[in-house]
Amino acid sequence: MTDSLLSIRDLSVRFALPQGVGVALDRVSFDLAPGEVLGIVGESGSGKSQILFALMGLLAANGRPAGQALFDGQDLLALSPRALDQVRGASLSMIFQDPMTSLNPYARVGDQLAEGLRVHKGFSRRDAWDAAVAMLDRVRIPDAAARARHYPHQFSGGMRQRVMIAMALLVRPKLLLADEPTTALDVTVQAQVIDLMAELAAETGAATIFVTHDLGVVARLCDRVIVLYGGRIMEEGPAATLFTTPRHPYSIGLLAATPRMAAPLAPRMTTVPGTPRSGAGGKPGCPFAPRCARRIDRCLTETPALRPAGPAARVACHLAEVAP
Amino acid sequence: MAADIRDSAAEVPPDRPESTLRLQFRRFRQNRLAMAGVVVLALIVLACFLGPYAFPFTGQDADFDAIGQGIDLFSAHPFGTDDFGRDLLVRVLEGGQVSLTIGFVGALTAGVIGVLYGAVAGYAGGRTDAWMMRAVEVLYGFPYVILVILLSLLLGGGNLALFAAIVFTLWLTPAVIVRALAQSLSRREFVEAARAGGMTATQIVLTHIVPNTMPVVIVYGSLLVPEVILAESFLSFLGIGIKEPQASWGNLIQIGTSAMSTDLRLLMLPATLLALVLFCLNFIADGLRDAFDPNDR
Repeated sequence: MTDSLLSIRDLSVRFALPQGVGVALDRVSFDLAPGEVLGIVGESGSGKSQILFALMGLLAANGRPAGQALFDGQDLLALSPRALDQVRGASLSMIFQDPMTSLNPYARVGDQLAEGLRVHKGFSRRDAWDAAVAMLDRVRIPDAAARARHYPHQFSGGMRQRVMIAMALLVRPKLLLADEPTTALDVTVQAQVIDLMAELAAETGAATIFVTHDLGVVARLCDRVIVLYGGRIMEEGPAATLFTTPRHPYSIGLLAATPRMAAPLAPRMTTVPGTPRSGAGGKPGCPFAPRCARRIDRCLTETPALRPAGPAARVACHLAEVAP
Repeated sequence: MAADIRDSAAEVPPDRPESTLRLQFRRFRQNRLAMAGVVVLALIVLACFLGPYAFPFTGQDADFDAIGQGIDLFSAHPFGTDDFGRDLLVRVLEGGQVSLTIGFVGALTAGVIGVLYGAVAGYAGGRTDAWMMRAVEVLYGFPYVILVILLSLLLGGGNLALFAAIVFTLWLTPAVIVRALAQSLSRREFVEAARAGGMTATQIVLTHIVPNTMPVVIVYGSLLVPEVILAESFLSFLGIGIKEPQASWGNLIQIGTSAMSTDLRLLMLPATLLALVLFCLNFIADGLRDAFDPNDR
């Protein structure tokens, strides 16, 4: 694709661990068009957050990225720290998981918001403050002008996450990365925050990558979905088709495990059997094979390639080749 | 949906912005002992800096009609004079100016240097941190009195050498404390968020790391002031600090001790004031620690 905003090719992340090398991501490739909303789903340890951290240059000290991540024509993985600082916060923003710890407790909320505009867009102190107040109002903080003068501990969790959203979108980024932005919030607040993010992302035209394990969020927000397991892409496709006709046994299991309000309450919740294998990429065979109910011998010896399967969809499963 | 968020009762804004620091100072003000310390200290500071103006002579003017006069509250020299006929009270107040100035300015200077150094080392981490902290450890090992003598030789003696020597030895502890704090702060999410926002290391250290070390630094700083005053007095007592005829509490106490067997008065006045100031500062430090301790909310 030539018109893509972000083009990731063979992104791998390896961690140097005492017991050897851990592979968190194994040759992940995908594209993102401007304004597109992409969901990345997977269990804990599937490597979904590591994609974002690698893009932002925020991997832990023992982590090494490899591959290529072209964003706006620049390879994010090859940029110097100084050049990366000019991209981060200017055209690339991130929303973190826990709003309770993501704000500096000793700085006024308005100042923290305005900081990005002053650093990256050369706003004067006053203009940046006014823009910050306007943005706080956009994320529906009541009485924004007064609230901007307040400190983070005077805000509730949901409000703080809205502040984080305001902070991320204030610089008008081309790409917004959201790392499980709702996991730390109450269920009722989650819905509000998600709707707000969708609304604002659409309004500012920012492409968004949502990393989450909440399939409901994905279904509600995303144009396209990537299912990640063991550091590899298992399946990728438009949200609409992936949810109705999942092809990969893991996606099928994941969808079956989603509790549904409409269905009668099952005596036990459906789960994907087995425990997730983390950081196991790099070995031959399908990472999901040990837990897969439909495993064939080939799955243990040969890593399935990610192949086109239907319109705009890809799946990495030997079974999908045999029986399309 | 929009209306829901705005109207929810949990989000009625508090009346006014209140920083954590301000909250902590409010708790400090409820501590009676500490507030008493603040009041007494303020009175002593005022007396030292304004008191000498109430007398028609300075601490260095000798009154040859009243050499060695004892306490006589209704005479021109209420607390008497020393062996040269200099007014003891005025000399003690002027000495207080020197001791207090060195105490506060020295603690402030040492604190600022230590905080910046520690914050940079702690945030940078890795090899930079290792080298910076090894340098601190080397300086820690340097004998203090020898350092002062060397610096007095180097800077030609006088108050500047004393000040430099005090700052030079006392910035090390705040640097170590702040470095440890900065190290844990640099792993907090808001620092990560700032890095994700493209802030440079300098900006992060100044706007995110340093302000968050303030509660600890303020508490430690309040203990640093008496330490500096004591160091000055100690060095002046040894004769390598503030030199005659300029007065400081240290050299006044030294003169007082030499006349101790015949006239306790020369020792008592400066020693009492010094002790009082140190008491007050320690009460204040205690109060600050109680107010700032996050485990004691």
